[in-house]
Amino acid sequence: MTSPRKPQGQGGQSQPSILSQLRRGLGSKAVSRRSALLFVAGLSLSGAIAGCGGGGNQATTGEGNQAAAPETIDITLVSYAVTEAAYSKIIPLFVEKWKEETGQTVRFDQSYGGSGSQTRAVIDGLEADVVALALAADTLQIQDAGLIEPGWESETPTGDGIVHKSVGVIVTRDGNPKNIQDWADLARDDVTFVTANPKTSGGARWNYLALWGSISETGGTDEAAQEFVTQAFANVPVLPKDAREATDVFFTQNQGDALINYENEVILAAQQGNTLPYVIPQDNISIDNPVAVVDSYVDQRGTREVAEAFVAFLFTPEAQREFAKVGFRPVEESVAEEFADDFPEVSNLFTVDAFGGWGEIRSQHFADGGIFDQIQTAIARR
Amino acid sequence: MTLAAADLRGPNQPKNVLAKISIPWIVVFAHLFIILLFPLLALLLQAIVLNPAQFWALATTPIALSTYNITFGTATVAAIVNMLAGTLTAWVLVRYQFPGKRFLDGIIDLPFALPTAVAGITLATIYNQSGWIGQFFAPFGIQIAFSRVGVAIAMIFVSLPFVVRTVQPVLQEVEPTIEEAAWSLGASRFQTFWKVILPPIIPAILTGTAQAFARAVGEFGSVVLVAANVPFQDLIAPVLVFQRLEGADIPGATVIGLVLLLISLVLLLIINLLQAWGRRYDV
Repeated sequence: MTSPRKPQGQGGQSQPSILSQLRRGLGSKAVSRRSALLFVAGLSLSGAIAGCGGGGNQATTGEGNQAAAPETIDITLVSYAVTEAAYSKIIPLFVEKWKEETGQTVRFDQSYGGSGSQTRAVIDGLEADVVALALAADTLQIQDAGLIEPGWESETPTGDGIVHKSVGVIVTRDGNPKNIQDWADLARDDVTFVTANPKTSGGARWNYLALWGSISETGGTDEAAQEFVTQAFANVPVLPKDAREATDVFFTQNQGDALINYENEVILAAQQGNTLPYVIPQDNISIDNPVAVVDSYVDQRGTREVAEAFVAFLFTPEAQREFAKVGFRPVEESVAEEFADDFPEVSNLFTVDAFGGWGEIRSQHFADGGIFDQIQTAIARR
Repeated sequence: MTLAAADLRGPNQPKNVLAKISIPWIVVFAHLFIILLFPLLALLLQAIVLNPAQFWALATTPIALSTYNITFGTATVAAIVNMLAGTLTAWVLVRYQFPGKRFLDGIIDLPFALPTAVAGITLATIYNQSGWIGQFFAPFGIQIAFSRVGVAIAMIFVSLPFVVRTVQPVLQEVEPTIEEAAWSLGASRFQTFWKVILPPIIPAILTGTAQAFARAVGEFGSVVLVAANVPFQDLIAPVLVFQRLEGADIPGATVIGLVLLLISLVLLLIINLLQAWGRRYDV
């Protein structure tokens, strides 16, 4: 909510050409580019109509003429809201480094918004060179749309595409009056809690999986896990559409005794002066945030080299340190050691692989009529 | 001579037909087509990739059925409240003079201009259990924000101007002297209202109510913030569409959207017939 949401172009194939023409017309100033994007969002409806008749006229007018090695190069980073604090520090570092190495000035267009909406914007024609989303399921959607080549995970130094991590935490009211210590407490009869809706918020799927895994990854059966998650979600009075709104509902609107949130969010909030009491359950999910180069856009725009260099840079200690400072658990080992005090060890940490990966999770749990729908139907029948 | 002229025009016939279509007509037609019909067509086209059985299955899941019920039920309540209160508001604004009237008259359009998200946050803040208004209901176990009541209030808020703004100009045309004449002939206040004031403004009331209803059905931004969005409790259909989209379930979203569209079209048709009935008083 703090950053402007990006336009979601519906122009499909016709939009890139409109965009690049516009950009050229405007002399590609970073500021005017942003307003141009917004303008194009307005135009996208008419773009969609034009596209209807014209079919797929892919932009061949893109200005990606790398051979000439232009003085300046524009790249677009599309990410989700909370990473903005880190990227605002990292990008100047990279720009400086790239200038030293190549003499080229890199200008960044940055777009922050909900991870799911950002994903759709990129699929619909927002020309992102690099996407840093909240969960691999979103990146996989872009891959399914044919914009990212399969195998992007192995292209990062860590080999899994994950640039930073976090874990789930339970935020409580001051003094923790209900004595909430673990996921199990959220299923108690006298407790209510707030979580974003996993159907609308990609990020909230981590919350759901943490609850599920606290049973299934500690020796429980899937039936027991479903029973527990049903019990817990029956205690949810409000299902806001995203994590930001959930936080607002908990603090500003005073709903619920607890709030499921991410460790990085509460650390960032503490840095901004809102220290929140929270517990880190010891059976927890590793919230892995991926980064990827969007192959078809970088090839079209001739920005592959700088985009890949930027992604590689995100894994260097200096960039990882910036992620750690705003609350993300770093993936680079030396930085992880450096910040070990800030990020307490979690004894039983499981990943999405424990649930068969995102494809499986989506079809089993969140598809129409899937387990989450069954849970909500069961709660309504109680 | 005239015959020859007609013959000369012969080959140019198509041009003349085109020339006869006035520019305003072309503009209106193109505008409606591009702005209104094209998106509807796209929605239809997206839905027909599904076979009827799939369509029916997606359209009638228990959660979907409950959202139609909640959306149209709450919108009906909102429309009725606005019909009554809106008519009264219009009447007071037209017939009475009081300090601050111009100001009140001016801010009635505010719900049109206010971003719906702002409306939603504000409503949630004043109607939650500790909010300005919510705190007086909380002791009786009545929850306003994050319940169906909150949804209805958000819908009433966003559709408030419709009835007032359609009834106001019509009322202004009804001369107060007619009311006075009715009184002087011995009609009671109720009779005056029922037989003299109401008939000419019925079409306007129905039009405004229909618009308010349509707006309430389509409202998303403020409802999503003021509702708990829990299925079977107060989850409305537009939010379900959004959920399906976020889940990358385009067919599911399209189906719900289409069902909403069809129900709305049928209801608008019924309301139009009602309006035609209301116009029987027109001279």
